[in-house]
Amino acid sequence: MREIDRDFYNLLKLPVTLIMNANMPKVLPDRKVFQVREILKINQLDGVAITDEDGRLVGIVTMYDLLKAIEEDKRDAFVEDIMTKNVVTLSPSHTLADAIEYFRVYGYGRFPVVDGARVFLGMVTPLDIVIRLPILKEEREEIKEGRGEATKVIRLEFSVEGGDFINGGEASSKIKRYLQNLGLSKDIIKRVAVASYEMEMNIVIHAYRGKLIVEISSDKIIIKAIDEGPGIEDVDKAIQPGYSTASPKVRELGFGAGMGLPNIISCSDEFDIKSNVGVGTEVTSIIYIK
Amino acid sequence: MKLEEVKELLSAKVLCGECMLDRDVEYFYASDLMSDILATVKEPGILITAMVQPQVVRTTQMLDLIGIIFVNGKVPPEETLSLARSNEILIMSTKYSMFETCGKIYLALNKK
Repeated sequence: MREIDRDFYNLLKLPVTLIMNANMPKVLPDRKVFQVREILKINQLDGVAITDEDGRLVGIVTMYDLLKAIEEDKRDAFVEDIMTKNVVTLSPSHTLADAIEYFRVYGYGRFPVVDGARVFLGMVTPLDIVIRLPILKEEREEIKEGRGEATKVIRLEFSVEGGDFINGGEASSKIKRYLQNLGLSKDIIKRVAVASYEMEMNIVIHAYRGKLIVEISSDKIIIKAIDEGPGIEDVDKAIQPGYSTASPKVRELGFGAGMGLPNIISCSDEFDIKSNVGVGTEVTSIIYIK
Repeated sequence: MKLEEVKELLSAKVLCGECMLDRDVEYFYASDLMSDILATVKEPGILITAMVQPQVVRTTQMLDLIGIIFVNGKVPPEETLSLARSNEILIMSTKYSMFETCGKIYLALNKK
């Protein structure tokens, strides 16, 4: 296979979330047909997801559906009554290649991307792929070859729920997969994976909720965990190996041995921790790409 | 040491990743503390543990480990198994204790 082809196929392994349109207007099921048509017209969209109060997908509607309804004198009907309800969806673990295969197999014009709780994350159309693919290729090449402006960054952001031991670690595994697809060295990927996983689990174990943010530029990777939680009383103690405030329940799960922060530090080239008791904690790890 | 031999040695049941039994493994790590595992693992290999929650698979995945041996006859919950399946991680369960499991593998590795 020619070099350029291999590059192209590697791009197709990237998660579909990177090309989806995540800035879609929110449309509730009780909107009227004519109102939704206006929304689509203003936003220059051909189709839109219909979501409930909690952001969960309940259906999709296209401009064609809306115009047809208006022709049939249903301009005041609820969009709920004309939308497509059994929608084929993609999940964040699907790749670009999966999305293309879906378009080929189903022949639909768009697929909503939803998470495990059916919360709508964004919409993918063939046009998104055509437009975003060359941009992704460029970003990826600049990072791999260490050229391009050091200031240019790819930013990944994940929310992490406190106490969620079932999904804890999912964000880090997505981050790891993303870095693998970028073609970074194994050593760098492992250090980022271990640091981000420890940071993510710290949120799960100690905080109420938080965010895990990864910024990848051509010379470094910055991982940030920002949480709302009880904060840390004595940061100097917390970074000592073996010191832990974790509950017995958490220890039963194999965590809370007081090695989390020391592990993050040993993976990092630069490390910083700020904590406000009663507010939350912000941990930053910087890993240079040599 | 082939994973097939490990399976025989421990009279283990393979719960997922059967197709990986012909792989050769040189490194084994035994611990129930996730952070200790994250700190010590250097080379791809097998994790021996008594912890069965999904986080064990996550930990394994972060470190590119090939599989997990659950000791004391423990069988992991479905969440753990399905995560292992989707990440192509081998799972075995043996009736032996952590101490016995490590002892048997250590002797077998040293014989080679």
